Amino acid sequence: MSECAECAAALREEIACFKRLACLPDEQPINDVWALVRSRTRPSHVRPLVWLHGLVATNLRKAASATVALAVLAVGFYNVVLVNPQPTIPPNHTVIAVYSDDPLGGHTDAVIDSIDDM
Amino acid sequence: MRPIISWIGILIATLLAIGGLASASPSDSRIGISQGQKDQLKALAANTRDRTGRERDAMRRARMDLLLVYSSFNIDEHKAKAARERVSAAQMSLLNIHLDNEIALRNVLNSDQFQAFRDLMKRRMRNPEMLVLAPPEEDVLDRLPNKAMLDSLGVSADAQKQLLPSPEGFKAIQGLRRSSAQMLDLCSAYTLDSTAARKLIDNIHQDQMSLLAAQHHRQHTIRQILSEDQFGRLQQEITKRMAERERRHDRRR
Repeated sequence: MSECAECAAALREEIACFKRLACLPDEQPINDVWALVRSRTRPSHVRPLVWLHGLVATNLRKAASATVALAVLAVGFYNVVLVNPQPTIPPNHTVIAVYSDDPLGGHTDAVIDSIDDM
Repeated sequence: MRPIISWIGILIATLLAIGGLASASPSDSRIGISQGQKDQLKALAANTRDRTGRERDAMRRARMDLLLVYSSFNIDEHKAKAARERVSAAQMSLLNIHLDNEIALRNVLNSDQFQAFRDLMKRRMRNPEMLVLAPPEEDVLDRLPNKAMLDSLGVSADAQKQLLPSPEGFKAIQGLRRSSAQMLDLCSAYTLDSTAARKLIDNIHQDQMSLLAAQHHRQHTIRQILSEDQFGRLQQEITKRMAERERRHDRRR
């Protein structure tokens, strides 16, 4: 440096430039572009199709899922359609008037009506 | 896209499985009977309806004939007996038709199907309570002459007592109601004891015959109490009541 005046001048210029830079105020941008980018590219919390695909991704899982689904539906079908829940019979009675000439007629007529309704 | 295709495949497979189950289920899921059984039941119902219809028509004709016999002050005993026998025969035929129907029902359905059928009927009928009434042609003879009419005809209180409902008639009605209820109880079990059923049918018919005999006796008592002229006024009232009943019946139809 003592022998090269140009080098010493360049060094002084560099130091002066750094001093000026150090004096600059710490400015924050009005719009944080990165915040905007992060909000646009963040993965959503619930993605059913991706979740289901993960669940049944392999053939083994697919077969197991299909079996469980079939079993649940078959049990539901059996309970709802094939086994009718017995409705409770209301306590109030129906009075059927029958003639003494044919006291069992009301019962047989009810049997016939029930068959007709099938 | 692949997950959607996978799930569509599973859905189609499930629907096919349900379709298969449904097609394998019996023709009437409520009681689980086959189409052949259903056809047999329909034929049985049609046959029973025809038979009961014929006997009920015969019964009505016999009852009207008996009413006609009792409309004369001097009862034609021969005609009265013939009409009572026709009523009695129709009563017995109807009881036998009901028993035949019950036996035939058990020949078509198995025990489980029968129970399911009974439950179906119970839901329709809601545990009915039976009320036994006299047939209209007999009811009008039971009701007339009533107290107001006997008072207007000047019949004494002692004579009126003779026309009060007889204990025999009351006993017969009670017996008929009891035997009919026992018969319906018997019919609720798949294992129908036909011997016990025939015995109950005989009991019911005995009570029906007792009621016919009680009515005949009452008709004789009426003629002992009323003069021919008073009896004529009674007949006018009976004719009027029957005509009113016919009009009501026609309006309902």
